[in-house]
Amino acid sequence: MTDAITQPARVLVVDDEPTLRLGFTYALKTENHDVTSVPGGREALEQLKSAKFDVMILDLRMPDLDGIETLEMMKKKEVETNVILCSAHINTEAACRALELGCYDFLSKPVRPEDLRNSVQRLLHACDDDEHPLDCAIEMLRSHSPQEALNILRNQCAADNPRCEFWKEVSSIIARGEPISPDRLSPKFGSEIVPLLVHQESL
Amino acid sequence: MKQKILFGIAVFLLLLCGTGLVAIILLNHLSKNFTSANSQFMKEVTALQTLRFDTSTINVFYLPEMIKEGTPPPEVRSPDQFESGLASMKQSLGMMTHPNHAADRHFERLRTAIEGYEASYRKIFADFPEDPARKSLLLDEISDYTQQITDLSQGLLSTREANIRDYNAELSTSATRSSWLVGALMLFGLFASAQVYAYAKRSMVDPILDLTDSVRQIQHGNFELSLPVRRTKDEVAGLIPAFNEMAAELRLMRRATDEKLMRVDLLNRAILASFPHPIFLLDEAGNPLKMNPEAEKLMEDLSLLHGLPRRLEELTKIAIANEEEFLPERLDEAVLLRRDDKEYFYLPRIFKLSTLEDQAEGWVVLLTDVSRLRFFDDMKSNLIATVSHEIKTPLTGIRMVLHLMLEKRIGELNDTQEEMLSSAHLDCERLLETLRNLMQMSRLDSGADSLNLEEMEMSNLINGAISLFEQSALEKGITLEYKPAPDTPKVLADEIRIREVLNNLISNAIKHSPENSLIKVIEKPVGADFIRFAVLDQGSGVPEEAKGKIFDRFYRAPGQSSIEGIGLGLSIAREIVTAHNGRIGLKNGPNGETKFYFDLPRA
Repeated sequence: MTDAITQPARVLVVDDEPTLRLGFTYALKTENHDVTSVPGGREALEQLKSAKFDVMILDLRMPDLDGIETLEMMKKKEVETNVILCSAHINTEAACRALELGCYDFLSKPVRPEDLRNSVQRLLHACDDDEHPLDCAIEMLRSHSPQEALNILRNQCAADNPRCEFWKEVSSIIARGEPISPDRLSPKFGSEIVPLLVHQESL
Repeated sequence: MKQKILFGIAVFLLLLCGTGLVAIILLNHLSKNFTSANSQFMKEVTALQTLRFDTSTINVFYLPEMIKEGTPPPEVRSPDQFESGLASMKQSLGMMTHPNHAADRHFERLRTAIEGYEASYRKIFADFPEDPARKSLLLDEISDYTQQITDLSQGLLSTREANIRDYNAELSTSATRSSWLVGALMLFGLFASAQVYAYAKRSMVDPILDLTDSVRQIQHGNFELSLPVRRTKDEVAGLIPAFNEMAAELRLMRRATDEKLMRVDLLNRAILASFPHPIFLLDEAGNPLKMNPEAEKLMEDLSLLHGLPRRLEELTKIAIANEEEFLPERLDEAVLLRRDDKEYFYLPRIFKLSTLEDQAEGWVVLLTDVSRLRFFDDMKSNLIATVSHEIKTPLTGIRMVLHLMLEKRIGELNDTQEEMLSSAHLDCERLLETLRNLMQMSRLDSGADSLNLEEMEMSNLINGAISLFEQSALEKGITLEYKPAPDTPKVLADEIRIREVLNNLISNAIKHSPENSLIKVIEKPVGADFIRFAVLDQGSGVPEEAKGKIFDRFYRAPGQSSIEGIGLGLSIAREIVTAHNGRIGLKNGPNGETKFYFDLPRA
């Protein structure tokens, strides 16, 4: 995918771990993206006030303002950016809350540079309906069209694929405008929903 | 004893002989007396009768001639008859002469009468008077003497009869006396026999009876008796000191045993009383019978009057209903009890109290306070989780940077730099794997992760695991073999977790297999409820001393190099399999292989 024509994008990296910040920055800089990195949620909100970012890579656990709180603040201030939640500690509750706050992309640490680049790339490019129906469905969710997402999933996603089933459920909940809670997802998908969320299992 | 018996018998014999002898002598004496007296009497009677007869004969022969009146005066017959008669009379008289009769007046008078009679007749023979007056006088004289003789004879006879009567009476008295004597002797004999019997009883039978009784008492546990020592020297007397010694010995032994028992009992009580854990003794139905002070304190703190705390009661009921002891070891099986607003965790151990094999006499509930252990365990889990997270965060950064540098898109590396960074990158990967294991373990410990059980076929999972390790197996020339058995039933399992277990066993097998060997994965049902999956390798196997521990956390078999991780893989595998209500274990394969297996419940 790195070979695809990459349109330089403005990326905001939010992580309290300096080395990772550095890594993320250079991993994306080599793809010619314009990367800004900040150590916390508060600084991220500052940045969002003054500039517009195409993609935001957000850590979950941070001192002061954590990832979920940052998302909540953004929703409150009606700041819209495509967010990739990137953490080693995504649990079901956090995932559900993030989905409710309109964050549909997840990365599980540890992350290889390739995983990061691919995630960003998916956000920047229109999906291919036939090859990656799941990506397209998530794209529909990002653009606030849960019903569309549901249609794509129903028509093109294999019924025995647990990830398709999971996103179908999420889409239909969002389509009905109901709250996403672990109680609704856990009985069907167990406590291990993170592998279903994360696009590609990273190792 | 023999002497006593002989003595006893001798006494009887002597008595018998004595009595017999006396009786014989007496009888003899009596019979002799009687015979002599009788013959004397008979002689005298005969003599008296002869006397009277002779007198009468003489009279009849001579007198009628003389009485004849007329003339010539009767002729006096020849005195021959008289002489012979008289001789006979004197002989009779002589026969009656008996020393005893010397003083007999009647006898003397009879003799005088006979003499008179003789003299009268001699007068006749000498000069028979013709004068009737004289003749009459003489005849009267004869008649008178005859009468006298008759009377005296009669008198004597009577006297003799009286004598003999007296004598008979005397004999009878003597016989009675003899009877009395024999009777007395017999009585004496009886008395003596009784004495001998009593003596024998006292000296022989009684001691034996006493002994028997004492032995019986000892048999029933009364060692406190001792028999009186006797001075005699018989066998029984000899037995008594020996017996007493034995009783004393037993007494001592029992005292020692009693003391020991008492000490043990006291010790047990003391231990129970000072036992720092609450103990409840329950009857067969599970009702509390006794409790130690610690248990009483617990009940007081819980404000329970009777009956166990609810959770414990439930557990006890289950244990009693199933006749199965409940002996948990895992800290998460502890029961939470609130005492004074503080949380305490007790590990309940419920076991049968039986004195005989398999005969439940009650149940015991032992509560072990594991609050501190729980605290430490929680702390450990938290520590592992926290530390893991804290390490993982910078490590993800380091890993990212290393990846980037090794990509060489931000700049070229020289060979040394690349080698160093590659090595650091590998270490980093291993460190992350370890952290992943640690975190998973702490999640399993906290019970946060429940299983997502579903019916599944294992063949896909096993094939997946084999293809995952194909490359690393190939590097060592190892062949991975798996032939799915047809109709293997489905299992109820959490796919993600079981994949973890399979991966762990297969990667272990590869790690410990020699080059160019074979690793087999097999599956087969065991019993009615389980399916067994096993990984067999041809490695050197697990050392005997390590077999019990390899599933323990942080255990590493001796000789295992430190590169191979910190020993969590098998412990995590065990946790996962146990959570499935399955079993995991290690066995020797049929051809000496090392065989790790796990059993999962059938769907």
